[in-house]
Amino acid sequence: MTDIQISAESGDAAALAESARFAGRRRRYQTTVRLAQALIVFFVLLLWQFGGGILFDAFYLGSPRGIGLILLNDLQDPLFYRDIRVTGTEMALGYGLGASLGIAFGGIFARWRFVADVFDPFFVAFNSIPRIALAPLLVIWFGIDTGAKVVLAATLVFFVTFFSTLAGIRNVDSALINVARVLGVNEWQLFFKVQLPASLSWIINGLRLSLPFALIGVIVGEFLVASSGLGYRLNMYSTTYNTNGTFAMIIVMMVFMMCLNGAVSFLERKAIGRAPAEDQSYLHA
Amino acid sequence: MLKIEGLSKRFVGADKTVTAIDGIHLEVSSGEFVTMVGPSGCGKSTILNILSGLMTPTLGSVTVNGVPLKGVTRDIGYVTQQANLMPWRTLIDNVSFPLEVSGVKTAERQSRARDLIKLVGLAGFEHAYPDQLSGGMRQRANIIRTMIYEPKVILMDEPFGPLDAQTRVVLQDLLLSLWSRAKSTILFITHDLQEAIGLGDRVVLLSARPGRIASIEHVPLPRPRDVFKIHDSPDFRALFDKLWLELEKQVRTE
Repeated sequence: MTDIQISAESGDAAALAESARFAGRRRRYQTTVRLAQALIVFFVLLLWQFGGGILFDAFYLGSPRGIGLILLNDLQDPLFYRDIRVTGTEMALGYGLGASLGIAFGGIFARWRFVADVFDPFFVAFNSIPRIALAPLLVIWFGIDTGAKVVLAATLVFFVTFFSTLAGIRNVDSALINVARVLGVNEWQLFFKVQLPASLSWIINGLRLSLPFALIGVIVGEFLVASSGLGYRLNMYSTTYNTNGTFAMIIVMMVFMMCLNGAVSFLERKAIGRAPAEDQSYLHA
Repeated sequence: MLKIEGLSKRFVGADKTVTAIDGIHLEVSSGEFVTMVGPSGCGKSTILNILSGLMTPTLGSVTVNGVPLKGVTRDIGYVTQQANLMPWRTLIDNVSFPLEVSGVKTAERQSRARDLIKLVGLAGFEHAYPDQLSGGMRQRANIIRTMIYEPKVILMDEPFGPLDAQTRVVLQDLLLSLWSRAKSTILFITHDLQEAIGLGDRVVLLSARPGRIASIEHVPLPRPRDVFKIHDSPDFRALFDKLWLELEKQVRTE
């Protein structure tokens, strides 16, 4: 009897030790991955820094040290913060405008088949225009300041959110819609209480996918004609053959975008953390 | 109460026309529990889709208390085979949804939903999401979501079909107590003959496609019934054997 108990206890202990070993192995693996990533960054920077003049011409590729110096310099420049603010504002406005129109039109098209059928070819045609080609026209219409950049970003964001909202609403399980109808919803309630929440994950996905397009639109606009903004700053460095400065701005934009992506992922988790709209497997179970 | 006259439905396809149901006549009186059985493909779902107002018949008419049925109405509830709860809503918000859309105040609809939730043994799960509930629990929620707005007629499309045998009997028992309490009129479709006899006042047997009424049998079992033990009763066995012969014929012709 005692023997059995002892062996049972040691069995538990063995299981515990086993899971501890697993956890330890996972942690060690994670550390190894991080270490490998750090090594890659280190060697690239090393090669970049000391390869200049031997492996390649530093005039074209710049150097990590040069980029670092420019970044340090820019970080003390009030105009740099003005440029971030300008780009950020244009981006926010363009994104807000494009996304809200995209979701609204996605909803309208999903609800009114006739409207969708009539306007579909026009939307496809308009979306086929390389938006950069539209930029000069937008400058003529909306001026060289904020307007043109906002509209350019909005035209890019619009289609991404529009198509994902449309697809989301069209993909809502028809059984769910029929049930809601039988339970007595009117058309308005059907849209706001069933179709919209059921397609929330699609809409949020569209919002996330369209975010980089907002930055692209604004930067392209600033590139073309501007007197402030990150795109303007990038252009200023590149037209003076300042490769270090150009790289510095690319890094700034990259970090800027990564921060925004992080913010959107956070909001996404908050919004659909407890509403797995994409997991509808049990509707057919 | 519910009157179905000469109901027929033909589906016209590109290369062939399918007659799903053909000339269905049925009268269900107030408070009656009618069950329908038939071989698969006998047009059971077509009948319910027409009665719920989601589909229009090719021929025939449906009236509720003399009023012709035109489209979806709150007079007729429809409990589907799949629970079809809204995944983004909690149990209580799913159950109170029909009251929410008809403008009942939050406090009242919550308390009515809570009562029903308690009645079907789901107390404590009010704020759980559908994916946190078992199949049987979701089906209970599905049933009380319809019961909460007290439609005159409740249609049920094999609501216990996807459940395991034990859960099935528990829910049959629950449904009978809900029905006798709410005094609703129920038209219940199933492919399980035992279930049809155990629950119904009358059993309607449908033929193989095109669906016609093959026979209607009165169930001579007293109420309240004990669905856990009913199968032992000689009356049950006699009716089961009789209907089974008939059903077998229909299944074979299919």
